[in-house]
Amino acid sequence: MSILSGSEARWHATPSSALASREWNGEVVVYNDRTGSTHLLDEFAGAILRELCATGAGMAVDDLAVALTGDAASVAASDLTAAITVVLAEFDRLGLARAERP
Amino acid sequence: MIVAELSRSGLESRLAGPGLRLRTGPVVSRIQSRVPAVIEAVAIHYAEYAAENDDCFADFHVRVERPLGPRRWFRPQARLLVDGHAPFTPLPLGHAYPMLEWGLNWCISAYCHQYLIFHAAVVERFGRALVLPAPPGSGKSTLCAGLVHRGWRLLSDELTLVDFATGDVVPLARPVSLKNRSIDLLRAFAPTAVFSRPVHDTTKGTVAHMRAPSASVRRATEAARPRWIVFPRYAPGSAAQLSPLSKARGFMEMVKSGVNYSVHGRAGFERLALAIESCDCHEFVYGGDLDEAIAVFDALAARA
Repeated sequence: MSILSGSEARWHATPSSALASREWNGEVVVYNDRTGSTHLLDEFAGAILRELCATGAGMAVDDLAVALTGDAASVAASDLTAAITVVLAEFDRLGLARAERP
Repeated sequence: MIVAELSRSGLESRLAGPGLRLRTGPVVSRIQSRVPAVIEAVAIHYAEYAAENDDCFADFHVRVERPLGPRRWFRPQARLLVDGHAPFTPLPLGHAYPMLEWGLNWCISAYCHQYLIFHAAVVERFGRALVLPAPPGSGKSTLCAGLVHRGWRLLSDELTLVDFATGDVVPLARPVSLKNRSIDLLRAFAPTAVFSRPVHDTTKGTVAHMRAPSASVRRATEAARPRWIVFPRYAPGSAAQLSPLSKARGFMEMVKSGVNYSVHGRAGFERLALAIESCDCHEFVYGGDLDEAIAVFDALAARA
């Protein structure tokens, strides 16, 4: 199973000291010192990155779903966790976050 | 002293000898050339610019010359030297003056990293700067040329320089580069404007330079705070239309127009973010009716 899709994987944002960001009306632009790249995140992706940056312990996909909705029942909504997984895969590609096996 | 105060022979002697130390905004370029077309163009287009003394520090040392060897005579060429080195391949001799302008732009882009630089035209009204970032062919220089003949002040037609400390846009106020149909469009729009001889068959097509308005040159030391960032797009036949653009998307479009954004890393990000914070961002489509287009920007300025 891909590490990226495993529900047991815990995701960590690139250390916040390497990131700079600004938010306007829900859209986020973020600069990554490690890559020198600048990215535009929509409201959903921006919220995910914010949650990851807020914790040093790493978060599983299900944890993110709960954090974003405040509702444990939403974890069962496969489209939400699928959407989160897509964003996390993109974060991995962009160097904004990475997954670790527990 | 300004260039116009030099006699023609005096100007030729300076250009052929120690160089003309020409001030354009914050930049002093020492220019040397014996090419008649360059001498003529400098005399006409830089008449009102300061000619600094020989002991004035020059940021760049630029020479346009005819190369030695057969290409001096056979299908003659001109080449540009910066600090004694040739950063570009030679061009036909007839392209000598545009080559000087392109070379001066290159010097600023390559070396003036004390500024955050964008590939954008920028004009000013009521103390506020309108930045027009866009790729070549988008119509930004045409718009810029039109605006500066209808009450807006020219800061630059090609490179927007943002001061890191203040966030203000610093003027260059050099001649405006026009291409192809824009040349005749501006001749009709601004009958009193002064144009260089059109140069044909360049990589950009036919090119001519329009002299910067005198008022813009006189005020070339006055910076302006950015207030609007407008991304123009020329679409033949279209009515002029201004549409809001989110600040985040405006930010990303500015990054694409960045000349040295990547050089500055996080500092560039922070500086640009501050600029975006204080600006309204828009997209602008127009079909070539300059009066219609300028009316849109005049209305924008009046609301500020």
